[in-house]
Amino acid sequence: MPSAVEMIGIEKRFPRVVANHDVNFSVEEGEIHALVGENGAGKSTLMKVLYGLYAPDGGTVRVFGKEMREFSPAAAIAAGIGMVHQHFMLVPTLTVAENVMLGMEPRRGPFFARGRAETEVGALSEKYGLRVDPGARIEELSVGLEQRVEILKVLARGARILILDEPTAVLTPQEVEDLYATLRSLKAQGKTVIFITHKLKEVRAITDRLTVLRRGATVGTVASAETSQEQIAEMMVGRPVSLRVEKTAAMPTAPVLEVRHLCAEKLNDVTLEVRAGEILGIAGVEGNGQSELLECLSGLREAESGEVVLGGEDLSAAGPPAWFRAGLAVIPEDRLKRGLVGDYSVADNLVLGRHRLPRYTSTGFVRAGARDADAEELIRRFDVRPPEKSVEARSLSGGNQQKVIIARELSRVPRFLLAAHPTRGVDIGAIEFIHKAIVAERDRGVGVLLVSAELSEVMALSDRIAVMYGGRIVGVVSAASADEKSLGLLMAGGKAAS
Amino acid sequence: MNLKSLWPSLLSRVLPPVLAVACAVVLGMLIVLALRLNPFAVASEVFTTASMPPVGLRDDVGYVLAYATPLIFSGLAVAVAFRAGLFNIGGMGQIMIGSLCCGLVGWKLAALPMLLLIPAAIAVAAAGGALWGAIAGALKAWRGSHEVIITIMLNFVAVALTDWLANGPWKDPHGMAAQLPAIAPHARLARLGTYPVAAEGTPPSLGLPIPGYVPVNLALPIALLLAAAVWVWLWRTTAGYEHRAVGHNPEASRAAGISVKRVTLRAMALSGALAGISASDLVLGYKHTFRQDDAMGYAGQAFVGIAVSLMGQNHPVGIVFAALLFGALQHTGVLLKTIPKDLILILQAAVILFVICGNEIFRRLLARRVRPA
Ligand SMILES: Nc1ncnc2c1ncn2[C@@H]1O[C@H](COP(=O)(O)OP(=O)(O)OP(=O)(O)O)[C@@H](O)[C@H]1O
Ligand SMILES: [Mg+2]
Repeated sequence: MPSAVEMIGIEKRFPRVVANHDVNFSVEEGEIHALVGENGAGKSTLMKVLYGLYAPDGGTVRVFGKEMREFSPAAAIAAGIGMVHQHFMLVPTLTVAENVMLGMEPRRGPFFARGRAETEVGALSEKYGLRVDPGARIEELSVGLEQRVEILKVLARGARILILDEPTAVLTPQEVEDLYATLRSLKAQGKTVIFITHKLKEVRAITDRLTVLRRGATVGTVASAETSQEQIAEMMVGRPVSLRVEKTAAMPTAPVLEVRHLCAEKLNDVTLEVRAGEILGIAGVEGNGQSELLECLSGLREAESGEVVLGGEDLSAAGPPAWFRAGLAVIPEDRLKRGLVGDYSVADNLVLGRHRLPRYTSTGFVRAGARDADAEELIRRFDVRPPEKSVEARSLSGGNQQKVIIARELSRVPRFLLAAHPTRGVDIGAIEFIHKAIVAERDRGVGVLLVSAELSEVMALSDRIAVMYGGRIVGVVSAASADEKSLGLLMAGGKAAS
Repeated sequence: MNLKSLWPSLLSRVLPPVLAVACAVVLGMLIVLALRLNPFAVASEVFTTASMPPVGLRDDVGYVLAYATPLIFSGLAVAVAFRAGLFNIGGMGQIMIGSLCCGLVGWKLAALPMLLLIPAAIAVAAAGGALWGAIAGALKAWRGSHEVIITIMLNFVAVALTDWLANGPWKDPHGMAAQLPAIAPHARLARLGTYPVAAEGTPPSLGLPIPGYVPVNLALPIALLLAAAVWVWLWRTTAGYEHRAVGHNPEASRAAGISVKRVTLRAMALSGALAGISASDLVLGYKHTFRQDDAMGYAGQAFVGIAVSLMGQNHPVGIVFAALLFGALQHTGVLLKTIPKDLILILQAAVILFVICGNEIFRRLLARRVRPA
């Protein structure tokens, strides 16, 4: 029996980078196969070649033994391949059934047969255990449910091979569990699943085999269960990686940030304090006011009442410039929305927000020399790949975009660092690097407020942990005494056991 | 950046507009064929008319430049707004206000010497246009009103306002139409061409081998200088950096501490100023007064400026070339005899359509390559 997918000697070059070089990748029918590797290793590119979004510059692709001659999504779909992109492509105002059937709607005469569409989608979701109401509008759904709709869309088009690009990066822990259940049921029904991830724990939990890419080339394919996290990490990075955050005890001094009785949209009397030289982690299920808190603490949202004091200055009604002057640095929640100008070069992005400093401007003109010299230095220090200051930020892989933001923000030399999901979508080597950088800031005397969807990250990095629920802080515990169970209870709205 | 990597990006920018023009020309030929005429005969007829003695092609070159001048101003105006993510279709109103201001200064401040009067007239024209643009900018920034709607409505307001002023308080007592008294003779911008005999009352001229009756004047070099200035401002200054950042991603710009409101206001004011300076061509270089009906006809060309900016990819260099192309098209329209002049409008529209679609089609053609079996 031929393999489901065989990619041999794949070559894909972009103007300044070789994204895939002589890559060999094969997946057997009915397996769940992970594709792992550092940021920019070429995972997404390889999958886009398989899905026909890019034509390779060399190499052969076979699907169920048949060689692909034309590279277009239409040809890939015809060959039984479906892809769920990281950024969903759904029409928010249409219903689930309408989205799933888009372009292949059942008709009665010239009209759309809504009833039949909903029955069909209902049957499909039943069959694969992807529960979702076919009549619901997309805009009413959570991210996890939207993802289900995307998977249904792919299945409705008869896919036998599903590609998922970082499907878990945007999900809450419960949604991740549901997704795994779905993947297992797909496998049980004979589907083949390829999925890209940076979370090594989950790789071992649900995949059969995994393939590691490094710098555009294949390192090898191994059986997931027989390989330890440390071994996988070493294959990815090429050196041993420490998976634990190594830090000394915090030595906090005076408070840097004081929030007292803050009320704003979704925020209900929040009081907290971040001291210089400590990391305060915010744990909580997404949607409990974290986003609004982040906005209030960076000048993007005005407080309705209460005080927000940074370095002795009340900033509850101040905009971003005043916050930055008072010593803020931000790693924002959404990179491409708030953190980067995608069409600008890496060098231009590295000065964004600091472009008015005398170092970067004189008599109104941009000092290109200083900008480029500093860009090269930061690219080297933060290991941004490819090491090119003139490429568009948009074309960088997700993890490298994150490194650009962190490089820029840390070079502000802040006194308060607001870090939202600092390692979302970032590879294991870079996670280690970013964690070290944040701890180093703390040791320099910076107050750090960390918000992360991953409880394990909050627990590993923080010195104290505040739990948010329903727009308020429901408890603050020291990280040393915190355990997953009691935090989980608080996050779900239970009372602290004291 | 080295030359080798510059090539593909330059090619991908220049090729689509060139292909678009080629496609439009083919379409034009098909239309002429459909009229049962021979396209080559029409072309040669246009050329014969154009190169008729005694001046040959020299006045045609002049006319093309004369038509291109206002298109450079209005093209730049559209591009500057566009680079900040704004769509200024109020060029017409901004030119009306700028021209009125220009005519007013040239008339009322006649006591000033030339070297003060001309810059003052241009500066006040710019200020008038800037004010008219800034109204839309301020409403957008602080009230969230859409600039497209506001600038369209301001066009009507400008026409009504100038009509009233040129008919009432400031009307030329000797003029028949709604117009201001003429500007001082020394406020006139020199024509580029040569007069056969320098009679009394002819404007100053530069003596280039273009007949003096062609209205191309010093406003053309002003327009070219402004194109260069716009380029420097957008890509070399810190303000230009903020301007383009807001155009690409206002959310990220705001989060980085850039005042999006201020950039919006400034963008619309600058855009309006560029349109307003067009008055140097109309009032100082061509008509030597503000006359309502002339100004409306002239300012109406601001809409072609949108197409010029689009075709020039919102880049000053591209805009200069696109303005020359559209200027040539407009002049060709004057030369057509056997076929309707509407053909020129059709061609202009075709160029625009092909430019808009061409970029996308070209990109897809490059992306989808079928590998040989
Ligand atoms: N459209 C593009 N144009 C230019 N370069 C690109 C483009 N897409 C990807 N690249 C480059 O190709 C390389 C591989 O990128 P790819 O997105 O495949 O990485 P990845 O393994 O998916 O990384 P991540 O885990 O961060 O998503 C990177 O260096 C990236 O900058
Ligand atoms: Mg990727």
